[in-house]
Parts: sequence; structure tokens; C-alpha cells
Amino acid sequence: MSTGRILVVDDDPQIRRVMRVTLRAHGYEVDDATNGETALERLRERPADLVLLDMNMPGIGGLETCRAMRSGSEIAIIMLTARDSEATRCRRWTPVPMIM
Amino acid sequence: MFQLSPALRIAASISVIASLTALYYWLASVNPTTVALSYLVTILMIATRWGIAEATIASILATLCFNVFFLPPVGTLTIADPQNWVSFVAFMLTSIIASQLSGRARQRNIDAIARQRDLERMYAVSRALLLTDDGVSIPAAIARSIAEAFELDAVVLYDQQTGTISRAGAAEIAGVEHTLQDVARQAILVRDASGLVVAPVRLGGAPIGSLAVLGAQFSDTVLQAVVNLVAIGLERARSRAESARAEAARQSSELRATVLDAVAHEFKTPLTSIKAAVGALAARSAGPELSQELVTIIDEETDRLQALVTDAIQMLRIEAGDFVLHRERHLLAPIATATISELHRRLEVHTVINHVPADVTVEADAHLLRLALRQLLDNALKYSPATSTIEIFAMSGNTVDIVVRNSGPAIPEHEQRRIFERFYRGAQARHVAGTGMGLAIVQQIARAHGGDLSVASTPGPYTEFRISLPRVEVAA
Repeated sequence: MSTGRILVVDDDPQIRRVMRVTLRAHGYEVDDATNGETALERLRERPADLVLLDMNMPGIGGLETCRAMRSGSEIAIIMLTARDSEATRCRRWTPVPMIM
Repeated sequence: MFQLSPALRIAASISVIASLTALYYWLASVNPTTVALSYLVTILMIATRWGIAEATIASILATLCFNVFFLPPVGTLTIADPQNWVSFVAFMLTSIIASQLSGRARQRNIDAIARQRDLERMYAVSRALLLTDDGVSIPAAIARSIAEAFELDAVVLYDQQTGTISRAGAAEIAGVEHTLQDVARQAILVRDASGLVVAPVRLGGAPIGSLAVLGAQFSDTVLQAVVNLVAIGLERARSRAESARAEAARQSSELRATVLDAVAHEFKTPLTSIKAAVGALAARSAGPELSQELVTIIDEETDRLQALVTDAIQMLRIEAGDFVLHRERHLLAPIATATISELHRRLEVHTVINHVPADVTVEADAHLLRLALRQLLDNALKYSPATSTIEIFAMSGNTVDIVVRNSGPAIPEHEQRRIFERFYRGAQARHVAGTGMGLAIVQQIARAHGGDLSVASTPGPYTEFRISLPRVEVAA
């Protein structure tokens, strides 16, 4: 039984892979996308409950992708970045240090 | 110009007056006024041409001859007519004053020329001192320019701070080192009988060195001016050395900071994967199949970390020039294939096509060439759109050219000139992880092989980086 549907957006395949595996182990249904454009397409095809979005991606970056997602829905988004400076750039977000 | 010695000039002055006297006394019959005027003109010419001493002797002789040969009674040193006394005294005073005046004018002229020459020489020295190119020792350039400008036999310059001694000129000055050190320490001027002058060089009152010159004929003023120029030059050498040290330190710390930053950033991704996989395994929430996958992830990511460390160390070594080229003949295609396979995990959305012909060989260090290719492929992956194609070509002619081509956005022309500089990152690079060292390293590897790296980038079609390596006959 699925407890929710999560879309993982990250350009690094290994990160996507490990997230997919661990989240599935916790019973989530996981879909993934390598960049912002693909992520928006996936959401249009099939809505998700949560998006895990990497901030630092080639092409349209995480922030822009986030804006585009939010323009059409109230979907929950968790932005991920390895850089502290990027986290503090988003004023309306609360940076949460995370160790996973 | 032809120069007579002082004795010869005096002899010549006497003989000119004697000849003139003989000419008028025996050959031409003229009145005393003509004779007196002729003497005056001759004395003025002697004064202008040779100087005061010659002109004074000539005027005394002319006065005597005028009296003896042309003023009655002729043949004696006496003068009968009081009127002739007047002309005699007038002639004597005129000739002496005129000779003094023109002699002085001549001396002033000589002094002015000497001053001008000194100024020109000083200008030459200061020019040489201020325009010394980087990489040339300033003290050596100062010594050389002083020796050349003042045509000196020997110039030796002692820089107290560095303890270096710079020499110029053809002659050797034996045992001058100790004198130079003493003069610099005690700040006193030393002259000796051989014409050697050793002067202290001071800056703001504090001694900073000393200068020894041999064969110098310049005045104390000129010597002081030269010594001041030397002080400026030594100070310039010092500030240049200091700024070079500061620049080297800055570059080295910038290098370390950049590598550390990039390494830290690149490490975060595999570390995150490993940490997450270990966490999931520890929670025992995954079944056997997922656990196996998590272990595989840990294994692969550990390999990735290892490769990152190896690359970082190797890049620092190459950057520092600390590497040896093991050049051998290799087939290029397998090297390209191996490099592509190293990147296979990142190739998910890109396609890499290896067009390298099977028979192209290259005389290179395979390890370094792989590193260079990996950098170029890594760049192509980072900067070209997902799902695009990256191609590797190779052509063999006079050189072996290896081309990595991608369809990423064109690199603006002003950036193309700078992208090989270490730490330079173009506008597109700002959102992509990297050190700004990759292309500099590739260029360094290409140059170590006697080749080079070039870039061609045009909007629309593609951006390509080309490593050109010379063909070298390698002993089998």
C-alpha cells in the first residue's frame, strides 16, 4: 500500500537512485526527473504529494522550477541544496539543516 | 675629433705667433695697426679653440714681438715714441682681456656640454632602471647600464639586504667585496689611487648597499646623482620581489581554497548517497533486494570518492609542474573508450559517440591523456543540454588532433580568450560546480607533450575543444 507519491528531481543519478530506494523502502511511491523541464512534465502527467527538488541543476534551476510548479498548484516542495549560501538566498523559505 | 696634448697646443700657439711675426717682418710691409689686429684675431682664435693658458702665452709673446719687431726702435725692447707706448699698452691689455674672455666662454661651453652629457647618461641609467623587464635582475641591470652609459672600466653593486654583488664592465676589481661591505656598513665614501671610488647607497638615511666604480671621471654631484638612482633601483627591486612573493602566496592560497571548495562540493553528493544508503540499511526497513542495491550504491559511491581524491591530487601535482611524462605509443581509440566508461554513471541523459578511428596512434602519457580527456568530457557533460550528444573525433596528420564536441551554448568570444586561465569561470559556469582549473590542466598536459589546446565555439552548431599533439618517434 502506498503512503504517498513523491517526485525526486536531481541531476545526479546516484542521488536519485538512493532516494528512490530508501523512500520506496519506507513505502512511498517514487518517480524521478533529471531536470526542471522533465519534472514539470511528470507533474502534468501525474500529480504528486511532495516534490524533493534539487536547487542546483543545469538548465532551468531549482528555484525557477519551483516557481513554475507553484504557479499552478499548492504542491508541497522541499528544496535540497548542499550549499548553505543557496539556502539563505530564498527568503520565504526556512532553511532546515538536514542530515540524511 | 683630432685632439692635441696641452704641451703641443702651447708649442703650436707659440709657432703661430712666430710665423705671423716672421710673415709681417720679412715678407710683407705693413703698419703696426695691421700687425696688432692680426695678432688679436690669432689670439682670439687660440683662446676659442684651445683655452686660456695657450691664449695667455700667445698674447705675452705677441706683445713682446710687437714691441721688438714693429714698434720703433725696431730690434729692441724699448719704445721711443710716447704715442707708441699707448698703442703698446692698449694692445697688451686688449689681447690679454680678450684671451681671458673667450677662454672663459669656451670653458663654460665645455662645462655645459659635459653637464648635458652627464644628464643624458643619467637619463639612460634611470630609463634602464625603470624599464627593467620582469625576470631580469634589477641590480645587474643597474650595474650594466651605469657601466655602459658612463663608459666605465668596472662597476660593482652590492645589495646589502640580499647580499648579492652584481658586476659590469670589462675590468676586474680585486678584493672589492670587502670594501663594498665596509662602505655599506660605515656609510663613508672611499677613493683610492687607482681611480676606484666606492660610495655608500642610502635610502632615507639608512644604508642599503654600496657602489664601486673604476675609471670614473665624474664630479661629486654626478656621483651623488648616480648613487641616488641606484638607491631607487634597489628599492624597486625590493618592492618587485615582495609583490612577486605576495602574488605567489595569493595564487597558492587561492589554488588551495578553490580546490578545497570544489573537492568539498564534489564530495558532498557521493557522501550524501552513502550516508542515506547506510541510514536505510541501519534502519533495516529495506528487504534483501533493496539492501543489496543500497550496498551497491555505497560501493559505487566509494569508488567515486576515491576517483575524486586521485584526480584532485593529480591536478594539484600537474598544476605545480610536479609530474613526469611517461610517453609511449598507444592506440587512441581504447583510451577514449576507457575514459568514456569511467563516466558511464553520469551518462544517463547524454549520449557519447566515440568516432576515434581504430588505427590512430598517439605518442603520449596514457594516464595524463585520460585525465585530459576526462576533463573535457566532464566539461561537455556539465555545459551541454541533457539528452544532447557529445562526440569524440580524432585526426592524424602532421599532428594528432583529439576533438571533444558538444552542442552546449556558445562560449562568448571574450570568454574564449580567458577560459584556459586557471580559476577563470565564464558566466555559464557560475551555476555549475567546478574549480576553474580543468581547462588549465588540460592545456598544461597538452603543452607538456609539446602540443596545445584550442577552442572553437559558435552559436547553434557546437563547441569543440581540440588537443593537438605532435607526432614523435618513440623508440619501441
